[in-house]
Amino acid sequence: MAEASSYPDVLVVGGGVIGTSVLYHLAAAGVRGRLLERDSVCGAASGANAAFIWPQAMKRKLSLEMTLASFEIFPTLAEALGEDVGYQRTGGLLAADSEAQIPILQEYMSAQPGVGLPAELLDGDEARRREPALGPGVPMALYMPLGGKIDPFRLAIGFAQAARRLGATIEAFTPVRGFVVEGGRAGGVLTDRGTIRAGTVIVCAGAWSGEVTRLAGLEVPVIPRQGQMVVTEPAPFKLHHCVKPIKHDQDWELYSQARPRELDYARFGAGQTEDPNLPPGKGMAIQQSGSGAVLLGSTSRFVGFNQRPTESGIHYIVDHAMRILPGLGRLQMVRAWAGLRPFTPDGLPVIGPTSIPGLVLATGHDGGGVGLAPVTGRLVAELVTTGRMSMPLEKLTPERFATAQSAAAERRVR
Amino acid sequence: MREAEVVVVGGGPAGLTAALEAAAAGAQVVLIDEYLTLGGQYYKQVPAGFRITSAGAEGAEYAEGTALIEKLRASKIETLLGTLVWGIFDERTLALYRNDATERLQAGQLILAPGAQEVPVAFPGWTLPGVMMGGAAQALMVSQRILPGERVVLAGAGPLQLKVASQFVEAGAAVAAVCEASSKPPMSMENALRAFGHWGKMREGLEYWLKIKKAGVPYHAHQVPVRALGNEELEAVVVAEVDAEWKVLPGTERTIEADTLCLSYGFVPATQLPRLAGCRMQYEAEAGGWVTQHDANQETSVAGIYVAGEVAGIGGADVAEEEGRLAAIAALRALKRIPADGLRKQEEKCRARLAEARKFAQLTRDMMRLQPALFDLMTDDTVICRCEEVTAQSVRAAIAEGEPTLRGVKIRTRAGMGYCQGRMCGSLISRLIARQTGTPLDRIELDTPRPPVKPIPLSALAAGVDK
Repeated sequence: MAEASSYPDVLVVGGGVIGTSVLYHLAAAGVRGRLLERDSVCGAASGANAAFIWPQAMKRKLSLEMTLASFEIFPTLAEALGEDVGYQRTGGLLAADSEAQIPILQEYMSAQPGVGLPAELLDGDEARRREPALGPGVPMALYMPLGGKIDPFRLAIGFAQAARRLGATIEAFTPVRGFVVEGGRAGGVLTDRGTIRAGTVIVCAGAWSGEVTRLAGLEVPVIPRQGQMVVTEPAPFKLHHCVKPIKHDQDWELYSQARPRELDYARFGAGQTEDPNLPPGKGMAIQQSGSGAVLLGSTSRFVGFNQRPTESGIHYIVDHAMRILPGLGRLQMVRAWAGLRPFTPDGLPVIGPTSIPGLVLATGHDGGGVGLAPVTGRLVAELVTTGRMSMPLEKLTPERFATAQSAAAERRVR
Repeated sequence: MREAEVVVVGGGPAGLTAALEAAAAGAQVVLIDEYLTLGGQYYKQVPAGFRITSAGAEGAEYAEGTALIEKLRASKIETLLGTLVWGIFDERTLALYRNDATERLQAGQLILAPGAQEVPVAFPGWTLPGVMMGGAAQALMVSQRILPGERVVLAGAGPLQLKVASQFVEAGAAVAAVCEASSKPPMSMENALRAFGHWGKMREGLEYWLKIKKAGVPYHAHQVPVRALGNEELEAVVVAEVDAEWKVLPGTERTIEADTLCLSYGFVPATQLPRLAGCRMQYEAEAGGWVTQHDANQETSVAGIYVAGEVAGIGGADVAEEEGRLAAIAALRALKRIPADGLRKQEEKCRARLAEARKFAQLTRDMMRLQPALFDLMTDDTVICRCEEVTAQSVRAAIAEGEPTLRGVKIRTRAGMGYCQGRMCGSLISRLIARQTGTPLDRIELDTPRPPVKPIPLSALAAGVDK
């Protein structure tokens, strides 16, 4: 019979960039952690993305603050983890493929001072000077210096290995089947191999967080938002920036879904919805990886836990990419796949304690998880060790949905 | 989008008979093959522009193959050659790549007969130019009349390399040695007795044996290659004796000069397409490892998708042809082209021939069974993933550090992320995982299959936008 003192202080559910970052930051703060991953570490969205961190994607001030905070942490990670996570500040180029898209860039540019981030409009020639692979038909581009790339596999594995060196343990292929809730307090989880007890359980299960939390009797609106990706063979040319096309939504409505039909927005009180397609360029990225291969993406659809790419999704991605980088045409597509972003109705992550003492969430990062992983780890470590976070708890808390819910219910009654 | 009642993917023995059977009952059939000629590997045809001037020079199966192909040409079957099925999407929608563009084809019923690929065996120097698989050597000699090398060592397990050796002799190469890994070579009394009754096969085997004996080719049992030597290309092969479990016996190495090393350690089903289509696999060590699960009517776990031939389990051309016919009959019934018990007599005869063919296939399988020690020939600096140049050492470190899975190794080393997407290295990595962790091969999951099944140019995708 295991004694209480041999329980891990913390159980982390989910082994993606978020879960491994949480495990590492806790271990670095002296908190013993055990991580359970249902499949493979870095196996889901963390291993399926375009590896680009783009603060300009954040319309919400808080997401932006968090991403910028992560940016401070990234350069220090290589030393802290003893692993080169491939972090590079490349900047982004939002490229118009025709004259018709120029107004979009101009409008977005005029909004930039409000957002507080540097941006520069370039004419086609200047854009091509800085990024020779851009096609001759590109009339204008918006250069956004803040933005970087990373190797998400090395990031997650780096966190995992460093956490292990500090005494944490990780078990893959161990799904959580239920929660131990005794006297109203979460005390552990149920797995196929038996009960695992812990002082605190932190759910970092990405797109599966809604399902996992439901096992504890809680309704948290985190649902999968599918994104498809394509990768090419190593390219003989270099891409200096992350290059972003602007979506032609009117042609391809199916692949730019902003709202899931099945999410009851009234119920979760989320009046304003974060549109995953705004600002322009969001959700589409062309990025060169360390091996020289070019990653192309992405799409947006709500199709449950389906991780299969579709033929038209592949066309959608390639079509957009080739309009601004026609040289891609001579490269071969080597693989296509789809990942599941953890979507929330208001576009903010869900970080904080739930109404069940001992059960904490750190999830809902939608398409920004890779960039937000370091700061999320830090925030959760703060919460567990001091009870407080250095960023607005009330905006990130899972409880915000319950509050909005009852407010909405009240409005209906009146 | 184009539609076809019956789509057959693969123009080898299974695909040919499946297409012919379906067309004979009046179904609209489209047969697709990646190559520019039909016949697959077994009935390899010469390229356009070449002519066979002396009948019989190519061997018995060439004539059989030609006969089937002629029959096909005389039928209403539409053949799409030089066409790659790069993806299979929902509801049996195929994505094709041909003529520099992509197209869609909707199949009423789909028969997959993509065949097999050869088992890679790795050891130091196996990536030197001059080291090749038996099938590749055959393709060069038989269909393109190119001699792969002048001084050849063959190494493998089972009777097929006797044929390849005999083809080398016929083509004028000096065959320096044929090394058989097992202690019981094909021409041993024991195997000969088991082959008793399969007269055609026995005669064929004997022909190859006599040819190489007459040419003075040294044949060695219980020997394997342990190293391929050379600077920029193969110059010599080091072979060694092995015990009954194929473990190398120290002190038995000897070096043979050669410019070509031909490896024939058997086949595994080429399951990328059925896996892409969502068909369930099952592990059958005897049949080549992971094979496509199917019922007695060749139908897979996905309704309307059938498999025939090697992809359903390594069994040879005779098995493949009967399975092709059975798959077609099942498809015809599903389409209601024939009544539910239509072609019953035909089906019974097929099954009888299939049972007979499977008996001989079993003998060949036994002779080709690989011992795990064969995969201990890889040393730390042996390249395992040729596309990304990942060594066995990196793979072993990844297995030790992380999860003992193909995906776990992939994300840590990039092995399997290159052009072939694990087609070559996947089985080697599985073997390393098995050896290192004691996990049985049937418990080592394959990596998730994703389109395209082989690389295709992005320009083809932009050209053929079919929303």
